[in-house]
Amino acid sequence: MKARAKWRIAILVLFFFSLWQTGFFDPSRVAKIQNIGPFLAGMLPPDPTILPQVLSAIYETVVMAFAGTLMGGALGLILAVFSSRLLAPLPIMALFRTILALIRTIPAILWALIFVVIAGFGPFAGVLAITFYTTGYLGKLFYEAFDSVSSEVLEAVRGVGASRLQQLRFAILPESANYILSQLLFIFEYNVRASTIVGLVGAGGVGYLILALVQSLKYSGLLTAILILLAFVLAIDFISTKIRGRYFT
Amino acid sequence: MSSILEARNVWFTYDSRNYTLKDISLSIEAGKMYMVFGRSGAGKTTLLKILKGILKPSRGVVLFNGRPTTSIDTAKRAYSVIGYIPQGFGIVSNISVLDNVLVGALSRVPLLHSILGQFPKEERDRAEEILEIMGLAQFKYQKVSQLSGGQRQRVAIARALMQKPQIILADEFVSQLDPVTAIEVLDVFRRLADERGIATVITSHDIHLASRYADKVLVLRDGEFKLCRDGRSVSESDLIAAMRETFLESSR
Repeated sequence: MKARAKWRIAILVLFFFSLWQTGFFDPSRVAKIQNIGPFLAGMLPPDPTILPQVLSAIYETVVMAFAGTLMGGALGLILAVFSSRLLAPLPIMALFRTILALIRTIPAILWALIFVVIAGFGPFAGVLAITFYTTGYLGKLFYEAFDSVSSEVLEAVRGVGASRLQQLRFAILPESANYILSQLLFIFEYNVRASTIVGLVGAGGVGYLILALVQSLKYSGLLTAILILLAFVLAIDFISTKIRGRYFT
Repeated sequence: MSSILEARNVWFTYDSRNYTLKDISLSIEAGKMYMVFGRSGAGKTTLLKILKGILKPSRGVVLFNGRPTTSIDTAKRAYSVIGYIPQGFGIVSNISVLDNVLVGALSRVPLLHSILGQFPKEERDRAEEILEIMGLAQFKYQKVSQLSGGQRQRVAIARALMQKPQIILADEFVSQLDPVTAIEVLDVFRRLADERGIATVITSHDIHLASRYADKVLVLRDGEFKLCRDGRSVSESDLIAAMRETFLESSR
């Protein structure tokens, strides 16, 4: 048998094994798919009375995303300075890059769980979770941006006798500014969605409301929340893409 | 006249096998204009980087005011008074023209003040005066990205002047300019040499400018000086012959 055919069979076997392990061949579970009918029926029509509650929760989510993005951006910027090969000695650079990599390995929802345990339910824990996640992600993007500043510009600014901090202030930051702002906008847009997810573990915002609606079987209210959230996320994506396209390309 | 900067029997290699510069000796005197010609890859940029102190010679020595730049103090002193303009000018496109020029003063301004953008009044006045001389006064608050090629080049010269330089090294400086702007820029360098005693070393491909501006003309070929002559005594045909020889040799 050819090696390629062996691979195909191996992947197919693994696929069916995965389905079996996750209950796809269990008739009692498969039968539960029928519930989709009553669930969808329960969602209609969307419940308009819940609108004020949904809007207030979405407002909380956007505020969480904004605060977390700015705090994470600031922390990411500081860690990026120590992670840049142009600015930090090798051991410091290696240490801070490892810290950033470790922060990135933990997804936002796990950060949220950690902070819900530490600080209790509510948006405060959510903002901290978003901040940490954003720090790891933006820290990496920022130090990569610093390191790709034109070597000619750096040589010229070093050539006047500028110290490393002066090089950061007068060459590296201005040259990476557009990219930094563009990434901040992008991650804000992403964090609006992430803030919804972290809410599902009790860290405030519209996710928290969605969790409460599901637990109390208020599916028509759930549909209202999902529709309004969808409209908000699309609007924020649209505005952010426009701004990035116009000013930061 | 004694030299400010001198390369003495300098060799340089990037890969410890092939030498980019071979036994180069060059003495730079105040108020003189030097033009270095040579094909791409002849070692012109490497020579400027050695003179600036960005690269260290593999063999030989660079002397600043008679002292070897292997001493940290001398190297620092040399670094601060040698202006270096790389091929693409190395200006920061996202800050204003004035800030780019003030960058030239960074080594003289206390760290915290410079980080906060607080430059002493005398440095600001000096920057404004240089912008006036370079014909850039009306653009001082504009971002460099909004300027033309010739204007950017003048910003690069202004920044080098802000260093209070004794020497300016400019790499492929007029190659990217239209003939009129090229002549205007070289006029500025000639004036700086004559009026302020600033020595300039310019690498270029434009041989027709040599006899008009250079006090000394050098041709670099395969890392060695093959022609080193008084600017006024060199004809375009001498240079063309030297360049053609370069072409024939390297295409063999």
